[in-house]
Amino acid sequence: MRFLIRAAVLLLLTVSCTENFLFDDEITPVNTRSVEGYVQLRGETDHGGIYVYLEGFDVETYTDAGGYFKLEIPQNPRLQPGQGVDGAFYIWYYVDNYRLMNSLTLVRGGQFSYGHADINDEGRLKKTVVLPKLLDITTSVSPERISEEFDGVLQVNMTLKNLTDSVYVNVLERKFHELGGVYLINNPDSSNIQFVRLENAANRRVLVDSVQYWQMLVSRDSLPLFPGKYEVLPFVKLYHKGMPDVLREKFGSNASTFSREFLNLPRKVSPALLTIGRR
Amino acid sequence: MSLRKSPFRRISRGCFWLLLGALMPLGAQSVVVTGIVLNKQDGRPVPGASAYIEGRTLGGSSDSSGYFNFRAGEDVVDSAVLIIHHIAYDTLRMPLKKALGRHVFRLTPLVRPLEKIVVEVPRDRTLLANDLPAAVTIVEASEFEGRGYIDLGDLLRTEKSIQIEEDLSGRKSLSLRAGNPGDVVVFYNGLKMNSLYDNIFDLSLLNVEDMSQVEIIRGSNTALYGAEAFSGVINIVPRTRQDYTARFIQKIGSYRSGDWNLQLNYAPLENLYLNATVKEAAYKRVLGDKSGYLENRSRYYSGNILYEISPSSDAGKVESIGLMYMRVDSDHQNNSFVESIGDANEIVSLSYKKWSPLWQNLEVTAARQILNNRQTLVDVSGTLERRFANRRLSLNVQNRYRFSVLELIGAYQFEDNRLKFSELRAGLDRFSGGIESAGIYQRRHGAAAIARVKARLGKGPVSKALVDISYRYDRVDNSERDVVERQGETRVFYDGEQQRRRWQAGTIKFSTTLSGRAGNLDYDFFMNAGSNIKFPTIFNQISQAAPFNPGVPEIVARLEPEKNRSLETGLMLSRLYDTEAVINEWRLEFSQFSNAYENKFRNYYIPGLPLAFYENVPNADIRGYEALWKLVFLQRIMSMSWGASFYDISDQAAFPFKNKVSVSATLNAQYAGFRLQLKGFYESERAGWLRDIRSEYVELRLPSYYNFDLHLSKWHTLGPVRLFASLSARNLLNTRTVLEGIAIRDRRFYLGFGVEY
Repeated sequence: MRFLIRAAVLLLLTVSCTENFLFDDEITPVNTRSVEGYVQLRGETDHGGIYVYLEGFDVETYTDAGGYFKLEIPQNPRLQPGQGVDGAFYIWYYVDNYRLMNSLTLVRGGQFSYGHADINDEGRLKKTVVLPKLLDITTSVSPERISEEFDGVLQVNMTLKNLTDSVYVNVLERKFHELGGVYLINNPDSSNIQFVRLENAANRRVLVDSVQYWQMLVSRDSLPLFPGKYEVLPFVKLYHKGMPDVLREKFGSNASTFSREFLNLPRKVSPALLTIGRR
Repeated sequence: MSLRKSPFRRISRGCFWLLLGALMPLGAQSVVVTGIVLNKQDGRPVPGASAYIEGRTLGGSSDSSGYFNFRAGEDVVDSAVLIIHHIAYDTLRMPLKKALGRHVFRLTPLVRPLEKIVVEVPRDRTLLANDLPAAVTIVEASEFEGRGYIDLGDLLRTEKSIQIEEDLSGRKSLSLRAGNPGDVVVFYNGLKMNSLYDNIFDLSLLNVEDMSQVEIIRGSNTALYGAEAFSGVINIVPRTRQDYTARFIQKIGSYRSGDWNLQLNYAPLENLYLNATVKEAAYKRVLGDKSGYLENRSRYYSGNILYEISPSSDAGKVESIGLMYMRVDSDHQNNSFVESIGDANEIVSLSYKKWSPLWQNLEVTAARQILNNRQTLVDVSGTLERRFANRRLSLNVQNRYRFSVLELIGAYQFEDNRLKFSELRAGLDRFSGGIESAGIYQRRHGAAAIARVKARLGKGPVSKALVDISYRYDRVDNSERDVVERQGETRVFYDGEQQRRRWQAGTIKFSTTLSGRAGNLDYDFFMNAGSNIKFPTIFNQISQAAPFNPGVPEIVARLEPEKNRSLETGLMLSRLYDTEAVINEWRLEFSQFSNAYENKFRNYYIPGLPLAFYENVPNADIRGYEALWKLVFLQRIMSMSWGASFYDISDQAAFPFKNKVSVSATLNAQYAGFRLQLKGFYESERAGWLRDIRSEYVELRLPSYYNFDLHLSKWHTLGPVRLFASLSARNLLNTRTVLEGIAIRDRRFYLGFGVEY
């Protein structure tokens, strides 16, 4: 009997194991590091080019033509400070002449908490975000076509029309409603940009609460020498209340001034077209 | 630190089998002495009664159900006398041969009433035997041995007042009474286990099979064991002395888990006890999307030598010396994003206990602890390597004097801590900053004195009154070595020429307990009030002060100790019925507490910046109500209990994602060696305030949760061998197995079997 007991005990000990093949379970890892959704521009059919920015994580993207975007927290949560950041983070949607809007996301342990704030259980925005247009900016030039020898004056007309509430804009103004600066961008070589700035023009903050007509007279000396097609874009930058500094800085520290960086801003403005023809 | 199979492992395993084989002949043919000790007058179980053979030190003590068992050599059956002794009862003497034919042993109470407090078992069996009254729950080995609990966190997760958080690597931290993990002090055999870095201990590192009981002391009313236990204390009592020669338990279960545990006990002399335990465990969670797996392995060793210099039948008067060694190595591999985490913890302690008219209950413990942790993580975006090496030397001296109704208890504690840590981050952050590595040295001195008056008022509505008052003084000295910032510069961490930082504080506590009987109803009432203090952790100290926010000028960053003032009242009512009746006993416990925090730390991170920020809330409160109703019925074969707790938290950024309401219901049954436990639990929504980039808060609510556990086990005696089998089913109602980041919520099954010789 004693022998049998010892043998049984030793048998049990020899079958000691730290793994087994009977319970072969699998787990589903939680991966909620991305959010996606749709953003649209009210009254437009092309919703592409809307800037989408996840504040805090410094992640950005643009919508496609259908308004779809997807953002992903870049790092594995366990590599993030604190092995997974906790916090409330906003996704900002930005087109300069449209209302700045945002969605709230909650992040716990370095991953989005689906089903909370503005994100549904599948990691999508609960609702399509629609950005209302704040300011309609239309520009025209006269004459639209000039020759290389043209020695007259080009007239640039700009109409500002607020579509919802009154808005403040930053413009380059020489005197009352005289536009002080425009960009001439060569088409198709968009890197060829000419700044047209009138003397004594200065940055001014202007309230637009109705329709405003602006005008600018440009002498031939200020226009490009070479023939081609040019887009004429006025410098008009909207003030967005509540815009986070980090978003404002994303496009360059001079983006609010009459500078090349201004052109980096997402805007929906139809430029005037100027053609300089050959002799 | 890899725990993968190696030749060394095979050899060491083989050595253990040889050792066991060698030990087996040492165990003579024996009989198991078992039974239940009941109060002769009221039929209530008598916990803490000593049952032993006269003239020998071998024996056991009864658990909270009155149940005891131990072994005796077959050769003494005819001549030996069984003694069952308890300080509040007449001692029972009975020939062993006669006792073997009985199951119930009834003790007659002495004239003086039985001392009771609001706990589930007598307080003199807890860590806080000498400390101030508190609400204590003891989880005994019979409730978890061999069952499907993978570690201590898994075991405690459904206990009242407790909340366990688990991360992907299996690391588990514990919160009590809606506080934070750093507000709970964890002791192993009386030794503090919390990390010097963040004052948190990973509960997954401890082996439940090597524990004889787990004590959960709720509330902050401890004076002897530090002023930092704002919400409570967990004390793990290891098995140091068992009546079997060898016990082997093997468990297998979900996630391909395997867990074997071997314990050896040997008493070469009547007053010398040797004990050794080895355990190895692993589980592997395969990711369903086939992207990889998570694998955890651990290996655990412990050993105890206990020598009773002057044995005594009164456990309080034994003079003894004990040596304890414990080591645990754990390893976590996550191959889906190349992460490995390793822990290596080691404790050596030497303790001496003496009783004499001059030194009544003198206890001296000296210990050396090593708590090491390393984490390596590789990802396409960069790499992280984090290391902590914490060495602690400690000395604890405690003594108690009794002068009639007055009792004086004094204690002194000293700790010498050394923490070396480094966190190397490559390619991970937009901005570097913070401390990359440092060596921090800390010395702590603590002295406590308790004066207690015990007044016995005879029979009547109030039969006993107890008043305690305590004072504790703590002093912490921090100094630094080689502090290196991420930019590569050496910096001075602590200001001043000495490069030291010192904090000191005194705390005072008061408590009173009243006990008595009104009609057939027994009652206990207690009230505690006091203050506690917690010095800033190293983590707090290396964090960056949060920028001042003019929107909330009262929130500032102030690197000063947190303070806590607590007030708690508790009431226990119980009534006993005849042991032959259908219902044998019911008991109702209720407690209400409020914890007021001052200068409460709040930490947060900003993505891309490897720095923690801290700020301090001037005032934060947690108020709570806890209730337990227990019913014992069918001749004590079955019991049911319902527990509920409600917590009201004023600042859910300082105490985020705590259960506001939790409810549990348990059914226990034990009959003919079978034990059955059914446990259902519910946790309400958990709310936390998340900070946005402008330092405003948004509330996040995590969903409520409920589930159901089942445990069934059976011990069977076969001559000198006891056989064991168990089945555990955890979270039976769970319909999906998703890692939710919340303590082990997956449906899991375990089978256990074992043998004891």
